[in-house]
Amino acid sequence: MARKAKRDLTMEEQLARGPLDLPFLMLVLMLLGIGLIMLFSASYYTALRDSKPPVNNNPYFYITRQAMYAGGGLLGMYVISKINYQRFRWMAPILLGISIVLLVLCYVPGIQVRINDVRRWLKVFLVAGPTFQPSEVAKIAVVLFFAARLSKRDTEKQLRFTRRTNTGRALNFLEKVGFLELVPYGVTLLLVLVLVVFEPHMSGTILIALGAASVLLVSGISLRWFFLAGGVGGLGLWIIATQTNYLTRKLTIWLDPWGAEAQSDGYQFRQGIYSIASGGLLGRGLGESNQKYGFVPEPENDMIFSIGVEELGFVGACLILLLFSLLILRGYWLALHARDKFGMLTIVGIITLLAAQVFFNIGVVTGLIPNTGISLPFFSYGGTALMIQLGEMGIVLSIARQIPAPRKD
Amino acid sequence: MRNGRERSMSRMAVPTGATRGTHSKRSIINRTFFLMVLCGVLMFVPLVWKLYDIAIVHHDEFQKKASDQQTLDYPITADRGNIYDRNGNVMAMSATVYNLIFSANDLVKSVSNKDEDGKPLEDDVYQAKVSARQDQMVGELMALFPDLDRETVEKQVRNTKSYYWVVKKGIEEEEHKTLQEYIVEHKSSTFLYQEPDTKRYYPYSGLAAQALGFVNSKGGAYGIEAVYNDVLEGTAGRVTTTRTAGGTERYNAYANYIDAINGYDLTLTIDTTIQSYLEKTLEEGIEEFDVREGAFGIAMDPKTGALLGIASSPDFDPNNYSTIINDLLLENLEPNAQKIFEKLKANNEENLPDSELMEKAESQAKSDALNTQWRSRAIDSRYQPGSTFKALVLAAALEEGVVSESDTFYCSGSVMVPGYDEPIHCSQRSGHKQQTLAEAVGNSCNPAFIEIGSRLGIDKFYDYYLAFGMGEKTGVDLPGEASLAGSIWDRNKMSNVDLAVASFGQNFEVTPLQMICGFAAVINGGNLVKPYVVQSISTRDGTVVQNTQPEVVRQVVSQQTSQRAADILERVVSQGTGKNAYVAGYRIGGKTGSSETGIKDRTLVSFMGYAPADDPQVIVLIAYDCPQPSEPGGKFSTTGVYISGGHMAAPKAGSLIAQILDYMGVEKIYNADESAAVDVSMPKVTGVPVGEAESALKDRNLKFRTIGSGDTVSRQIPAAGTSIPGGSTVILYLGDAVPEESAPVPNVTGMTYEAAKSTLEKAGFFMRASGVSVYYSNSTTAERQSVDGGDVAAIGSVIDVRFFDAVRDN
Repeated sequence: MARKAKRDLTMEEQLARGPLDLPFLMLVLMLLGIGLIMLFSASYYTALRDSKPPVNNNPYFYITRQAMYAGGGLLGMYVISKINYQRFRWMAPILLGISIVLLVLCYVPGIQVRINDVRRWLKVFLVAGPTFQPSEVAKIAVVLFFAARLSKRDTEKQLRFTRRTNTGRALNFLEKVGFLELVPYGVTLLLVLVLVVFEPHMSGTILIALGAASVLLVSGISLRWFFLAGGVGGLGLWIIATQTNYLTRKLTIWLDPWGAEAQSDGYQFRQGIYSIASGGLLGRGLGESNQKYGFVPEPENDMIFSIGVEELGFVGACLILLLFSLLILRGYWLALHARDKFGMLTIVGIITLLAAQVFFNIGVVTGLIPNTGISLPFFSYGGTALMIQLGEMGIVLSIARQIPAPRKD
Repeated sequence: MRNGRERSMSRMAVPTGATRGTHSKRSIINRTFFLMVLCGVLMFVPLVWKLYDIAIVHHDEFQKKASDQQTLDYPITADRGNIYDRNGNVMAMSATVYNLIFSANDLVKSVSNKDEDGKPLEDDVYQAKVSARQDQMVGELMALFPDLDRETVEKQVRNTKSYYWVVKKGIEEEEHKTLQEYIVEHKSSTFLYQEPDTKRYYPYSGLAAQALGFVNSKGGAYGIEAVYNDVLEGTAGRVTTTRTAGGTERYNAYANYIDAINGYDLTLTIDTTIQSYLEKTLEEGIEEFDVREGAFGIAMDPKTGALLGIASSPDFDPNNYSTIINDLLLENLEPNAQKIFEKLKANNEENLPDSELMEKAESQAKSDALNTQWRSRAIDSRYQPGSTFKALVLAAALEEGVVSESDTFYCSGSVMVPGYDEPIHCSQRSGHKQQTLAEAVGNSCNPAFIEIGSRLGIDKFYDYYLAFGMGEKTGVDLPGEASLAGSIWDRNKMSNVDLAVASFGQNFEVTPLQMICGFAAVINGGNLVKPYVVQSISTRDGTVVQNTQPEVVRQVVSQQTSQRAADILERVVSQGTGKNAYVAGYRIGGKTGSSETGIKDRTLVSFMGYAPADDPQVIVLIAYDCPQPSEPGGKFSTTGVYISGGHMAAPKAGSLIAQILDYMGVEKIYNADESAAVDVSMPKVTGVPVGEAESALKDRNLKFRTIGSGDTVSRQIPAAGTSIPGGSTVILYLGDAVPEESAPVPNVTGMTYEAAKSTLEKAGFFMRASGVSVYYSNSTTAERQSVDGGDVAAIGSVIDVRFFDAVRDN
């Protein structure tokens, strides 16, 4: 297909050919680069010691895979960035539908990939291929769906019901306070969250809820609903935390990770703390972590940041955090400058998700919050998750392309 | 403006035609900006604060914990040095062995709790599976080591809390390899593995056991192994490095290796051959004289103090130092346990049951026996030296000039000493009558020595006592020299009576080693030497680090005095109470001793001998403690030997000295009388005239008698070339006379030398005498003959007859 001349393009098509946002792209690439290096360092020994297939004592196992996925992810990011993001508007409900189906499939014996009674995974081709978490897909689907729908809020007329019946009056009242408007979002979100939480996948649930909440918040939904939802959610969480052993235990460990209660369960956390502390100001030097030699369990996963601090020190850790901070700030900056509300809401959802992951992961590693089991974007091992992450970055870049260049005087 | 309108609109009860959202972008931007600040900046504040708190504020605290778990610090054992005898024979060496370790806990872990499909097993099914595996393991271990106690194995295999059970210790290289193959083959390495260990080997088993000592888990425990532990053990090295959580060592730049320095080797003055002669002599004597309380012996170079051999009985095998091997100790184990049991029972304050008391008593008896066998009596015990001490008194008296060779002493059999009510008896109750100094020493005459002692006086006696080293430890490099506290009276408290008995070696105590050193000073030219057992310390490659130089503590008596005393002491063996130590060809000097021990019927018989008398190469002290009298108060042992140093220790020491001198290559020099009896080869005289034969025989110092008539010798007894003692009478057959083929050998035991000789020769045999000097007296009688009386032997055979002198000594 011959490339159309610029003059033949519609306005939108022209905008879609805008430049990539270099600061955002560079930050993504830098974090990805550092992440890959840290993953190699942290996973080397674990892989060497793992005699089970598919690792087979190959010290390069994790890094090779992760690098391959990173390559694929970068390609995907570029391709997605080339798509005119307006198309995501109609794609969003389809994507949401697909992700709900995928989430349901997690409960179907024979297709589900079940590990220790947890049903978070599916195979890419359902019966074969690498595994991925449908909740990752659901995250972006929810964000896109909400963004697409909420961006039309300004043009959506308020519903009017007959004032003659009580029902009608009640409905009118509910519409007026903005409740009816929220019902479709609530139902969708509740469906996804229920599917995720019973996998069980607590951290995924929290992230999806946060992503959706950020989009809702920015779209201008009245704050009272957030206070209400926050209150109900908080109460629910408190009940769960005090009534179920699982969460009570997590809380106990968080509150006193050095106590007798936490002897075995707090092990991972304590080893992480040893790692961070060993790093000191400037760190042991890249590749010089002692804790990764079997002390920190699965150092290539959720705990990777602690190995990073041990090797790069407080200064190195702050630099990584600075990069994340800049990426997030640039993300919101792009949101603020997005061409339309859909783009803005989408970026806000994606960047808030990213920020939440960073906060939860590092918060857990440093003991700021109880253990949630959230991986660190760009750093933790997980090929499909990384690809989806980069895909999301691609969406941001795609939206960024259509930001009109400042007028030259 | 707009905000105001919004508010007014919302106040209306009915929805208007307004849209759901506002067209205002302000709140959207505000909210986005809020999220931007929250997620881009504020969120990082607590994270950075936490990181700072952990990595900087608590850096030291947590890093210490981290490095505690990361550090691997283990010693590298140094090889313990070898111990060689003076000729380089290995007496002690170390080798790597292995211990087989079994972990019952890991055995359980090795049993999978899933079935073939990976489904978890029911608990009881799993337990049954574990139990079956344990049964199998017990079977495997029992098959590998049938010596193991099955009950113990069952218990250990099922003790699932245990990670470490030593199945077998000291596995040597060959078995180690076999076991390793077994472990690999059975995939048992997670619960059955071998750990390296070192084991000390003593190739000569019990030889010089007490001198060598042994090594236990803490290092050298007794003997040279203990004294020279620091030298032998070397310095352990150390590795400090980081480790993985699995405990394996990581090889990186932080690793710090300090090499182990191997221990030094020791070369002893002990000669394994001499040591074995010495130990054999002790053993034989114990057997022959029914000795009940052990024995000890020392062989030393009298000029340097180098110990050639040092032995105590009962002994042990340092390879298995906790095993009692001595028959006497084993025999006494049970009676001793019984005694202790009764004592415990009589004093049972805790009201323990009998079985427990018996257990205690048995372990006490065992540990007593072990201590007895580990002791080196020649060093760590004291004894009354008895008459052997007279040599020292003699040398002191000669040096002081209070006696001379021309002095005579009269012995009536006893003497009264002022201050003591009863007469002090001589060993020969009838008395030695008039005797020269040399005779008095030869007779071991107590009254004579009481006289000599009194001539010296208490002060001089005490001076020499100390000068001969009796008041101080010898300083030998062996452990456990006995304390000398209370071994003798204080100088100012010593009375005349004390002096009198001390003059013949009673009522004070010295250690055997002190005694041999003091005696050596008498005969080696007057020098008290410091005994030692380690000749040199060297590195593994043979570089000598330290060589022991003989050390003279002091000159006690002059060269001349020493020479005079030695001459007199030589006559003790050639003519006196030491006769039984005589060995033809060697000039042996010495002194007998029979010491009272203060316990009834327990006599310690000893002999101190040295040779050659003119140039002493070796000095030997042998003592047997408590030859069992045949009856209470009896004078003879159960084996029929008179209980005295002269009858028991002297003959043993004599042949020991001869063996040692032979081994050292000291040439035998016969005096005129001795050479007369030296074996000669029978010449061929058949077919020659009698006259010619006579001169041929005379050349060889042989006598002859003829049988038959004629001028020419037709046959001869013995055959040409036969070796017979000089002075023997050969038989020449003249004419047709034909000798008998064989004849019964007459019994000559109890006969004197001459009678025995003529009796045997008359019967057609020849006698080769041994045992005592050529100065045969009427008291010398044949004790044993090589062919018993009445047995038939070929005519012309040489019959060995051992003579014995019934001396009266003490």
